[in-house]
Amino acid sequence: MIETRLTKMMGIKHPIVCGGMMRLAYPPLCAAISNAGGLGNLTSAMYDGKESLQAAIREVRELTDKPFIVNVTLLPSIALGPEQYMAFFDACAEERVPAMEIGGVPLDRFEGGKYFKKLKDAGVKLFHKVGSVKHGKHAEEAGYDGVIAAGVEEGGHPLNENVTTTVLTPRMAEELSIPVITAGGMVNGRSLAAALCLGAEGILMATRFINTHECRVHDKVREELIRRNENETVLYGNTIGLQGRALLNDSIRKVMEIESRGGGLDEILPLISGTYGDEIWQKGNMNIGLIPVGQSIGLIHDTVSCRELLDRIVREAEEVLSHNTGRFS
Amino acid sequence: MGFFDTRITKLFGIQYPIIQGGMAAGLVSTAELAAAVGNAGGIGFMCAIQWMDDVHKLEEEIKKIKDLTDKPYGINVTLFPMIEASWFDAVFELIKKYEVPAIETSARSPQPWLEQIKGLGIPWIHKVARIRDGVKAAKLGADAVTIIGSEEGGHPGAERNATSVVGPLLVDEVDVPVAIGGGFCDGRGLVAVLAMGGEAVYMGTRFCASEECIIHPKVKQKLVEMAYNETDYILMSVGDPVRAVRNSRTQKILEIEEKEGADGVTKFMAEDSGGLGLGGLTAMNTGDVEQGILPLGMVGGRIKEVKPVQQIVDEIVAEADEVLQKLSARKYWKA
Repeated sequence: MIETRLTKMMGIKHPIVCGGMMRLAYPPLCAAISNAGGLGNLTSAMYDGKESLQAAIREVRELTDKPFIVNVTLLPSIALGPEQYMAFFDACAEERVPAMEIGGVPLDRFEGGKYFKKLKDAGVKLFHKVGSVKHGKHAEEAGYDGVIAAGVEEGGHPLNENVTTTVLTPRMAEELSIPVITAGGMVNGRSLAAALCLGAEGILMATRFINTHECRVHDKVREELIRRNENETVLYGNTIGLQGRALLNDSIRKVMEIESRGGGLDEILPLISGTYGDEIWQKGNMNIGLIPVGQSIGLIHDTVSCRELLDRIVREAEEVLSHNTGRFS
Repeated sequence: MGFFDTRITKLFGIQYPIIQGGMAAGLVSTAELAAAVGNAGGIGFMCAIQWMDDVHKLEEEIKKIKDLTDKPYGINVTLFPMIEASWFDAVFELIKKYEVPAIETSARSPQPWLEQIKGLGIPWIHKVARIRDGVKAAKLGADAVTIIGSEEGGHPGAERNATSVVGPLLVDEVDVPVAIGGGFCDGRGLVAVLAMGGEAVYMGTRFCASEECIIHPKVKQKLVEMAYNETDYILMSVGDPVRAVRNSRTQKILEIEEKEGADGVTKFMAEDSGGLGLGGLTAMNTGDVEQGILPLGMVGGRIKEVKPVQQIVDEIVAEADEVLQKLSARKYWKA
């Protein structure tokens, strides 16, 4: 048992949270992680509005009676408008979901803070995902319940200040009094133990959960993540104003080439469009589109059940921490 | 006198798993610094290429450190291929002659120098930024390997892999003990390294902000004032990136790299060194904090004070112990 402020706040067994993942964090995976003692993630952007998200939340609740977290990433998106975000927040407030992971624009600055208040009033614990201390301080002042400190090694959209987990987590922990959850490079028990040592109250992993039996992807996806190394992701997108980290593949190589010769969004978008989603995840074609995984792929060597993964992580963390405690003389 | 045993402390015969790595940017890792780290219970390495112009100066430095400490210390040999073989031979001779207790190699594969290095018969640690280089060094017979993540100052490698990933990964890949660096400055860093499976914390920037480090007071001032998100990753376009404190020069270099690419920046570096030597690196000693290149790590943003080395080490050890005891007292886990 590793008990932290996060496990107590959320009433969960293990200080391990799943991060939002488009086309992956569906109710069955979410519930499997929560049933295993962590905090499973339901990613809202996969749904088209209030009713469909509510239906998904109810599906999670049919599969587990444990707490879970809903991701909403407030990005200036091509696909989602403010009405859709409002619908997501309404769904989460009405369903009184246990927690939310907010990325991008802080929720207190969205629609005059109306939804921030609505969700807090509904008892929803709010965590903001940030890549800088400045944003972390803002979250604390706004009344968030915790922050997720995302190092540049994470997949998805790390902040372009490019600060890594070893520096960001302790820097955040020494500035904030609300709990800090480490994201970026987190994958096993030694990651968890190191994050706790750096001042975190828990870890957030996303990429690692792809290689669980409960994540519904083609086996080729998991085989590819086991095969690929830590140096096979790249940062892209700085020329179009939104940095991302993705697996090196043919599409991303083309994106990098377009960016280096000053090509624009019009040229890049067709290569990274979400329309490739099923082709990638369900058919296992890893050479097209954008596959937003982190450097942690270098440390993924197998596919296990969520329960086995979480138990193993906590057991390993306990072992290394108790091994080192009291050895200073 | 305290201690914390790992295979690396045993290898070097030191009290604490704390390594001050070899640093060269003008004069940085000299006898005063390495002796102070040794006297405080860790091990410090003097970087031989700081005296590349005259190997006798290295000899004087070795004599000096012998006066300053009877504790272990080491010499870093940076294996740049452009350096003449005769210089390396002279350095290895000095290491033998003065019975230098340890050697750190870095920058390139140690393979061409294997016979000389092993012939010294002293503890040998090799520093890498890539997993495959670490695996190779272990195969070649290094007694220990240091892996550094992209957050470190100086030359963190072109792969940009973070310490959180390459640290634990190299531990899995080799049987020899691993030191981990990049992003660490305190007791939390030391215990995080141990948690990752590392057997020593490797630090550079933290020791730059020490009283014993020879760098200019203005650079130390800049170091304690810099923010954690104020470093730049320059010269990526030429394939040999450097992490340095953001200033007018790094911004200029990045601008040229973006507009004119590798050729443009190579030309700029050759023609305009900001009025300084070593492409701007002498600023570490001249104190030209805007016109020079200050190769310090992100963790500079967590360092608030210049202190004596003894105090730095004592505080790291005390905090490391405290962090683990606190986690333990809060019943984080059942023993």
